[in-house]
Amino acid sequence: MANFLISRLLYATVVLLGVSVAVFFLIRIGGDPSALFLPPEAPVEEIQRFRHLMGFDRPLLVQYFEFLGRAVQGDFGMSLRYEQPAMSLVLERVPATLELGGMAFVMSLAVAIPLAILAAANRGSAIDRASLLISLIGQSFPAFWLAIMLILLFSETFYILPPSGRGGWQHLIMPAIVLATYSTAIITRLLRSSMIEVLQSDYVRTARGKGVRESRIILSHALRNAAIPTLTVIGLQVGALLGGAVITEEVFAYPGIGRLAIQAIANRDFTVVQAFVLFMAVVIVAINLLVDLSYGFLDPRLRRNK
Amino acid sequence: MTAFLKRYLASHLAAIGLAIIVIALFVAIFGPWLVPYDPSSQEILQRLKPPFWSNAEGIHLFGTDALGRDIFSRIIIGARVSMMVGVASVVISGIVGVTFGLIAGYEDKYAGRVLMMLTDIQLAIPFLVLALAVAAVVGPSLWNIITILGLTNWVQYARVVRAECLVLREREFIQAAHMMGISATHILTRHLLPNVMSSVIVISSLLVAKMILFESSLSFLGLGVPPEMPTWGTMISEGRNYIGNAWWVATIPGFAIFFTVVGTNLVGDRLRDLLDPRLRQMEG
Amino acid sequence: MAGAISTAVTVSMPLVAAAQSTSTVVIAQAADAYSMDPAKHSAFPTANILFQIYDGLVTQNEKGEIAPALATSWSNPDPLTWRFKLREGVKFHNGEAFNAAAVKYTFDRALDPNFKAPYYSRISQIKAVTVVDDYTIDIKTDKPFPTMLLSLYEASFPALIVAPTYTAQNNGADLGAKPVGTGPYRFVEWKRDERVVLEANPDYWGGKPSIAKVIFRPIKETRTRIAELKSEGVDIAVDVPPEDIASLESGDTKVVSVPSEFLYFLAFDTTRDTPLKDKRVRQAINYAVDVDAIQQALLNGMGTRIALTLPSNAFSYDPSWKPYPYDPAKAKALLAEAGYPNGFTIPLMTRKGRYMKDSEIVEATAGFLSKVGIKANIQYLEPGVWGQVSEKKGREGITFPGWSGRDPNLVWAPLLHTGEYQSYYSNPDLDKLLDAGAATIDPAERKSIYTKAAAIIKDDAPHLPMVQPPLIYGLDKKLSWTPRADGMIDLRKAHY
Repeated sequence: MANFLISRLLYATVVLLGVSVAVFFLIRIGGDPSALFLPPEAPVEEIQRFRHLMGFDRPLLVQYFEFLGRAVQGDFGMSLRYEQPAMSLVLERVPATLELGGMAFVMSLAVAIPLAILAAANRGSAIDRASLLISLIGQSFPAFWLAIMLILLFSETFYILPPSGRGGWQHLIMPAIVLATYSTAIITRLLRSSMIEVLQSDYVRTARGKGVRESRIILSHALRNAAIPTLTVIGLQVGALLGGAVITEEVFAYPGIGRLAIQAIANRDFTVVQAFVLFMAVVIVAINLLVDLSYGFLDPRLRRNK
Repeated sequence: MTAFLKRYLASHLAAIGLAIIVIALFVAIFGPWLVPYDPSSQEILQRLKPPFWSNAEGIHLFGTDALGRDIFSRIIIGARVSMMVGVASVVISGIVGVTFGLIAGYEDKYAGRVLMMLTDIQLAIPFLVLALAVAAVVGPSLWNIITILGLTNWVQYARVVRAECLVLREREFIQAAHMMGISATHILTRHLLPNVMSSVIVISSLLVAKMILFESSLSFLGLGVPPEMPTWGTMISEGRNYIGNAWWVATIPGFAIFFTVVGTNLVGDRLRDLLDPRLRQMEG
Repeated sequence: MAGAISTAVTVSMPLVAAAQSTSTVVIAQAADAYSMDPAKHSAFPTANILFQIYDGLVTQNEKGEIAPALATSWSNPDPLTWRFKLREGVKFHNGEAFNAAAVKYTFDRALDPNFKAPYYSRISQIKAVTVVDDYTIDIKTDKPFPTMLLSLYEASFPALIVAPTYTAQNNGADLGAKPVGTGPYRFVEWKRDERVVLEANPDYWGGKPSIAKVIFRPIKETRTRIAELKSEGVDIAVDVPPEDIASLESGDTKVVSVPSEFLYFLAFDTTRDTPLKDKRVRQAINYAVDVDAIQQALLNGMGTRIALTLPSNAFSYDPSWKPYPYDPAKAKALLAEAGYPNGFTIPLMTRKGRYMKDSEIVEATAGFLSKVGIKANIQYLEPGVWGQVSEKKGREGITFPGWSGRDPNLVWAPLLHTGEYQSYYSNPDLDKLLDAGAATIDPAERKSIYTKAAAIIKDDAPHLPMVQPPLIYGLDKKLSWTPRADGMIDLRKAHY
């Protein structure tokens, strides 16, 4: 087991290294931010002078290894725009994104669990088809379109919810709905199909044979067993879910990490983009690692295949 | 084939989905012969006219947009471009992902490990960030957008195909082919590929829907397809500022996307149920 | 219907308390501040915030003229020296005294190349700042610098005066986080991407401002800003689209607007071998595009039509200048004369969403061009890529660059003088006039020089001048505030 863990950790490190190479070079293909940072009337000599002062004119490989050397010591450089340490800019926005993501997750579960239970317990019925349709609809809106429609409805027409910013729970409702529509759809469908599978398994049949009540079977056996595969797939989806958060945060002017990332890309604020991508990569890799480990514990056969 | 179609149509929802897709494809293919107006011809003094507005030249079924272009015509031509983005980018990611998956599933020592590592690296970088960074650099032309979407969404193919290959290669017929000295390329393309095709078809049908949505997200972030080719995504993102006073400009393409994506998802769902029920567990 | 509901609901809404208060103004603009250090940023939204905290030596009054601020008067003892008398008795928010040493410190700091001030080029003509006495300073240049005052007012970001002792602490990091200036508002807090909160400075030299508290909020999405305004979450929303004016003119909101001094125009690349090298083709394009219709349709008729690429409030602008009229037949004739009876294809490079309605205006223009046979291939460049392309002088065909500046020396010299970074045009006769205009500070002489230059520019048509677009703001109906043509937000005189 210890060997397994060590090899997975080593692998994770190599993946992170790969991510750092990819992001470092990808964001630099389009050139550096000197021309973007200076006013439009700044002459070429001025831009070149600034580029030299910032060290953007050195060979990329040299810059990469300098970045890597500092990054392993926890120094991700200063943001060009903010003149603040890049990683702390990312980290100070994490609580806001977590708050929003958490709210969305709770909303998703509140809708998805009852829907999936109803659907799985009444497989093939009208309820089942309706749940399928509802989850499909949730996956079929462009997120920003839904967001703008909600603002139009709840803020501009009915004045019920604040359209932007962060503050009370009211500020979270609309962005969380937008984020949740997508994940609700996924969770409902996964949970439904996993539950159907569990409900067909031998031990459920045995339980039924013993006369255990159906409601008890569904809530305690089926739901619990179906939750594990569902959660692991959700874990793998963190990156994709964050894609939704980027757009949601932008429309609702919510001060989370997605908005920071978009601005940093637009500004070519290299250090912030790097810090953001690496932070996300660590989160995603860590979740994958946990998923792998839990698979390993649950099903030792899988270890051979890895 | 007819038996399969019959089985497919047993689900009413799936039948509706298929109908939507057939209509969308018909519009996409025959669009240029269906449009009442040139989709890029402008009459800026007749801008933002509501649906069913008509003048001497005829009726504008869906009204006109901010430059006085006919929205109905743009929706029809947009179907062509949006479907093209969806399908072409899925073909690209399919080719990349399936190739990676086959190789990694067949030979999991060196090439396989490297490829799987690429998959994990790709998975660890948030898609939109990757797409934005690249789109910003190469410029948002139609084919650049398609390529970007294709090259950032192949992971699911690679994972599923690899997992299936790992199982398949232990089967006797593959082992036998291997013993007989048949080349790896041959085994991969003639024996393994056909066996993973049903999963590939299912993933593809669901991915087309996502790609259409991704394209609209990129347009929203200012990196959409250039203006002479209307896509539903750019139509929404450009119309969104008028939504308070000319709701139709962004709402109609929004529904176009919505129905197409619902239709595609319904078809994909049904194909999955029929072809490859296990795939449910690997949904992404 | 919606209005009735709104009045019923808003009364009991706790969540919009901030904007409802008559002592607070909440402003929604597209972006947050990047730094609280005026010399360390290059963004207008940041400048709008900092202008409430800091003052420059001079400012702009309601008529758009340069007026005294921290300097009470100025003179030119010789053409290379600008002497400023400073206001006495002014204190920074932390109690430090404002004097000549503070002015010298401010400019010395921003002019130090190692300081890396992004707006260095705005003040780089200044060669030395010398203290004459406690309340007199001399600003020296190597060459006559007629637009000096425009380098010293608030839109020249690093010219805002900072407190020397405080700024020197922690290498300026304190200033970047918790600013100290002489301005009408004191800094309270900054939650990044969320809000900047300021409170009135009771000791302000210009009198305590009427609004007690000011909050700046970054809201990028236009629709969201409007929704905030309508639901009374904000009191001033910047960049409202013309289409929303009607709906905002009712209920508890209103709209104020002013023609900006910003310039919308098309620039033609005459350096490469394209049809645009031919003067007749450039004139034809001027005839082919119905700018009045574009202004009427897309800008609601707002803004100011310009005859030449110069704001109508700029030095030497002459109201008798007339733009080319819309005349597609004449355009076709000129194209045929130039050898392009069937038109030609040309790239049209621009950015999208950079300026209000930019992409709509560019696409409408391409529509007009296609009617005379010119096919413009629109390429939207991402702003970073645009910067890269510009640096390599790579703008091709027709471009929509956008520009501002209140003097021909700030507009024509950079855009049209041979060899300038932003110039894709060359005309030795014009070069001579522009050089002469930059070499003197005598207004009468400059006026006559630029009148001659204008005639050349009109005839040779290196640009298609369009409009000075309007700046449109949505306001709380009770708020009284006047917008400025340069886009800077000044809350010194705002009141309910």
